[in-house]
Amino acid sequence: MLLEINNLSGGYGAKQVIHDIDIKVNAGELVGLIGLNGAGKSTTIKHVLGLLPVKSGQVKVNGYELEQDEQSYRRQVAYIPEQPMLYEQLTLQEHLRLIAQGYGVDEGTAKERSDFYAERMRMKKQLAWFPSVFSKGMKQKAMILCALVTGSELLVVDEPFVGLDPLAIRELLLIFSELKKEGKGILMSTHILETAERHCDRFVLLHEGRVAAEGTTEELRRRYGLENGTLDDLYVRAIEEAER
Amino acid sequence: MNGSTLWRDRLSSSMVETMKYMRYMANGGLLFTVYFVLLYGLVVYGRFLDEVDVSFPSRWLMAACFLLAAAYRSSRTFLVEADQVFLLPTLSRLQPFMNRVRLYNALFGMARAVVPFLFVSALYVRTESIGALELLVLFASIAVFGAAANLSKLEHVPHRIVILYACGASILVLVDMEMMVGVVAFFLMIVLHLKRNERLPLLEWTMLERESRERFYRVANWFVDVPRMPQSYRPRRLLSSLVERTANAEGRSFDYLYRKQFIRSTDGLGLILRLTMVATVFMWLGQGNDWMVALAIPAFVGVTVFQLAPFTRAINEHLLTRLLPLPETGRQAAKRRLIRFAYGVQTVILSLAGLVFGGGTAILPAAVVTVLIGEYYARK
Repeated sequence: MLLEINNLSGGYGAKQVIHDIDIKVNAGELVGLIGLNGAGKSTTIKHVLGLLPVKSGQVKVNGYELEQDEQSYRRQVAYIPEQPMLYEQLTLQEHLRLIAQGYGVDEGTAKERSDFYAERMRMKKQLAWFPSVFSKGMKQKAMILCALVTGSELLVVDEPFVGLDPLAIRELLLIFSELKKEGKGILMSTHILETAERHCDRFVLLHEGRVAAEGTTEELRRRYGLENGTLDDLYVRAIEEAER
Repeated sequence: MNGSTLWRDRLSSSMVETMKYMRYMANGGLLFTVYFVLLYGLVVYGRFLDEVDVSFPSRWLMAACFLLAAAYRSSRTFLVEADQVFLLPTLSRLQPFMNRVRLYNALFGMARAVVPFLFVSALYVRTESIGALELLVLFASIAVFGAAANLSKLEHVPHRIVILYACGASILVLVDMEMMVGVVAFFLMIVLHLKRNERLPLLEWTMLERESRERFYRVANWFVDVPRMPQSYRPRRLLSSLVERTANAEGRSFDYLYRKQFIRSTDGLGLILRLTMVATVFMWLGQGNDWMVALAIPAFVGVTVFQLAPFTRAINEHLLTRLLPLPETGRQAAKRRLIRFAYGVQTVILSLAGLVFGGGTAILPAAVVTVLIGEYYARK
C-alpha cells in the first residue's frame, strides 16, 4: 500500500478540520478526493505532505512515517499544488535540477525526465525562462514537471486542471495512466467530477471533515441505489445523506 | 464620492504604502550607509567651498541646474485601474481632486529642483557677484521649472516645450541676466495654465500613476528586494554556470538554491556590489586619514553580513523548500558557506582598496575585526 491514512484528525492550530479519516491508495491506483469547498481536501493533503501537525492517527507513505524518517518519507511524495508556487529567481530548468537533486535523482535520469515531460507538456521552449514571464497555465505546467521529475512513488495532486488548456489536461491524464501502469499511486483532489469519473479508480467523498462515502463508481451506485447514476448524482446523494 | 474625499482617501493609502517601503529600505542597511557617505561628502564639499577660487565656472553649473530641473519629470495621479470604471459617473465632479493632484506634483517638482540649486548656490555666491534679490529670483524660477516639468506631464504638454524654456533660462544665467530668468519661468507657467486639462483624463492619468509606482518600486528595489515588484531577474549566465559547477551534487541542493538566489537578488550580490561601491567612495573621501580608511572595512562588511543573515529566510519558508527531502543541517551549512564566501570576497576587495587609498598598516587589524564580525553572523 502506497498511502495509508488511519484515523487521522487534524487541522490548523486549535481548529480541528478533519476527523478520523481513513484513506488508502494502492500502487497503480488513482484515487479521487472529492468534496465541497471547505470539506477538508486541502487539509488532508497538507497532512499527507507533513505541512501540518497530526493531532491523532497515522499517515504512512510506502511504509515510511514522517516522524520516524522524514527524509525517506518526503522522497516518496511529489506534490502538484492548486496554486503554482515557483522561485522567482530560478528558471524552469533550474527548478527541475534543484528538485531532482533534492530527491536524489541522478543527473542523467533527471535530464531525461525533464526533456521527456517538458516535450509532452509543450514546455520545452520555456525551460530557460523565469517564472515571472509565465502565464498561469505555464506556471501550473511547471509545477507538474517539478513533481514528475522526482519519480516519487506517490503523487499528490490538488486541482491539477485549473488553468490548463484542453491539450495539457489530456496529456496530463495520459501521463497519470502511464504512471499507474508503472505502479505509482495518485491521490487527486478535484471539482471536475466528469473527468474524475472517467479517470479515477476509486473515490473518497469528504464532507465537513469526515469521509462521507468511499469506493468505486459501481460500489457507490450500489450503495445509493442509483443504477445509472453519474458521479455527480452520487456525490449529491452522499452529501444529502451525510447532512441528514 | 466627491473630489476632496477621493483625494484624502488616495493620499492616505499612498502614504501608508510609501512608509511601508521606506521601512523596507531603511531595514535594508544600504540607505543608512548612503546617508552617512552623503553626510561625509557634505563635509568634504564644505572644505572645497572654503578653498574655491573665484575663477571656478559656477555660472555653468547654475545654468546646468535649470536644465536638470526641466529634464526629469515624474507625475503621480493616485488613480488605480478600477477607477476607469468606478469614477466614470463622477468624472465631472472631480475638479477638486485634479487641483490637489496638480498641487502635489508641483510641490514635489519644486523640492526636487531646489535641492541641487541649494548646493550650487552656495558655490555661486562665492564666485559670482550676485545680489540677494537676484538669488531669490533664481530660487523661485528654478522651483517653477521643477513644478512645470511635473505639471507638463499631467497636462500632456510636450516635454520639449519645458526644455526649450529651460534652455532660454540657462542662456540668461550664462549672460548674467538673472532677473530675466523669472520672466521666462512666468511665461512657462502661463503656457501650462492655458493647456491644462478641463476634465480628468482617466486613462492617461491611470497610466501615469502606474508608471510612477513602478519607478518607485525600481528605486526601492535598489535598496531591498521589493515583494510587489514584477521581478525581471537577469540570468547572469557566467555566475550561474559557476554555481552549476560548484553546487552540483546530491545533498548540495541548498547551496544551489541559496547561491542562485544570491547571484540574482538585490539583497545578495547586488547589495554587496553597491555597499562595496559606497565603501570605496567613503575611502576615497577619507584619504589621508588611515584609520578612517581602515574603519570602512569592518563597517561596510558588517552591514553586508548583517543583511545576509536573514537572507535565506524567505526561501526557507517557500513551499517547495519545505517539501525538499533534505536534512536541516544541510540548510545551515549552506547558509554559512554563502555568508563566509560573501564577507571573504568583500573583505579582500576592500582591503586592497584601503591600501590604494592610503590605509597602510591599519588595514590589517581592520581586516581581522571584519573576519570576527563575519564569523559571528555566519554562525548566528
